[in-house]
Amino acid sequence: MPSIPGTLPGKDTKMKRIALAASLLAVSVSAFPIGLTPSRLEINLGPGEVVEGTYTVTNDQDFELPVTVASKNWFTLKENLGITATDWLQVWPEELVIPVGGSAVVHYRVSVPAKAKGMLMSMVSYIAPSGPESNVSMALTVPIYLTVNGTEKMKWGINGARPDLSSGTMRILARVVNTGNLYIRPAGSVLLFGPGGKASVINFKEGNPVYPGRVQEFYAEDKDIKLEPGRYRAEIEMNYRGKTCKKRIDFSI
Amino acid sequence: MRRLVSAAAAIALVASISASAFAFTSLNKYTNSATVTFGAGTVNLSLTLKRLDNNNTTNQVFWDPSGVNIGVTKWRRADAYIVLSTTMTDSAGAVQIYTDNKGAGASPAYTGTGDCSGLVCAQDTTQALKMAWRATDISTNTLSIQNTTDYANLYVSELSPTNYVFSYLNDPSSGLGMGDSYAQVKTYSQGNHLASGGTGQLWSYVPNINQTYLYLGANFNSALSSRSYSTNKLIVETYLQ
Repeated sequence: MPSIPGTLPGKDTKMKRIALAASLLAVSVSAFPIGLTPSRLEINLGPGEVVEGTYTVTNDQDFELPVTVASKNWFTLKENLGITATDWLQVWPEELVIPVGGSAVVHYRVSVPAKAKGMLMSMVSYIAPSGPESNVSMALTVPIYLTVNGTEKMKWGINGARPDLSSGTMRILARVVNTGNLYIRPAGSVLLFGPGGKASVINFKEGNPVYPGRVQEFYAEDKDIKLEPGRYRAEIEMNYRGKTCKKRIDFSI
Repeated sequence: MRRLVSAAAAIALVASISASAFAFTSLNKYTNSATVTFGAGTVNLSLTLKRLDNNNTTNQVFWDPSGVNIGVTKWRRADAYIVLSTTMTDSAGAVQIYTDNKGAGASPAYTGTGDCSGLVCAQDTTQALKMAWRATDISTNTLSIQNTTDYANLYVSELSPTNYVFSYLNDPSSGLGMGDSYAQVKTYSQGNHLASGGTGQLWSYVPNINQTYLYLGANFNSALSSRSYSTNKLIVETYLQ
């Protein structure tokens, strides 16, 4: 368990408290009954800055629950290779027993390495050990995203799209490429024109973020659209934090 | 994900493996279900282990030694499987599987320099047997891992012969990236991760699909008699990104 000073680091280091507002994580079934607030943390800090906060873990069940808590690497930007989760994120205690009907506090401390660029990302896992009644462990894992102020670069686009009719339904796939140094979570839709000018709007399924340097295929599907022979046009539009990217494809069935 | 090679044929058993030789080591806590609320949405996960031969509930993932012929058997499916039931309403929810055989509390903990994933030899902790996993939409009790693509039991119309339904089970201490498709069993938006291969990843494309049948295998090609292989760090992890 890391030793956390009771006072703040030196005068050049700023301290901020993060409001543990909207996010909520609650776990409440018989075998792994924890509730956790917050779940996803998104923090903006400058190099050298520090923030501390807490997770509140609750146990609604009728038995004590031992849990192991750990931070771990998840995604590392190439500019930040060499910086590991424990270099900038500390969580403690690493082991706790949540009392029946009670709660416990898990602390975290984020300190931005001076050389960090763009985004740091780590996960905090709450792990229940395996046991005699099951030899499979379960873990609940939540992210901490840290944007390094003054170094961020948002750059992404749609570099390809295609229809996928293999399952007998209308499915449009769009390849989103992230060439910036922050993760993105775009959403959007397809305006589909079919034979005879019939138009439909199909929303893309939202999902996992696209990390920097990666490509992810998003799909939009409407099982109610009949696959009629003819020419189709798909006008794709995706948005994230004020930026819009478009792509158009034409295809025939 | 890479294609797996399996045992060629079943030959007579060399009966020097105890009944528990390939069972996972147990610790001290029952952990079979969880409900998670992430932000505005939820991820509800429960986990049940079942025997492959009769579908009865069990508490161990195990390999029956009678199915392993030392020196002959290569890949062999486990004699129990995992039923995951999930309900996700958070679009960033997902489930992954891996071992953590160098992690805190691992017993036996891998001490070698090679691939630490899978089943660790209790008598020589520098050795481990590689494992594999497969997720499907439906259950099967006629499962085997074939030298060729095993898709006969997979109930997915999109599946093409170039997709491989078993994936290696990996370990973060041996290079597994958290959230990698190698480990992803399912995601909210894509459904179950059915296969991969020449045409790319194959998902069920059923958002928030409830049921996932998770089958495991291990490669006994390098197993030695009178030794036990186990892990207490087979982790099924639900996460938010």
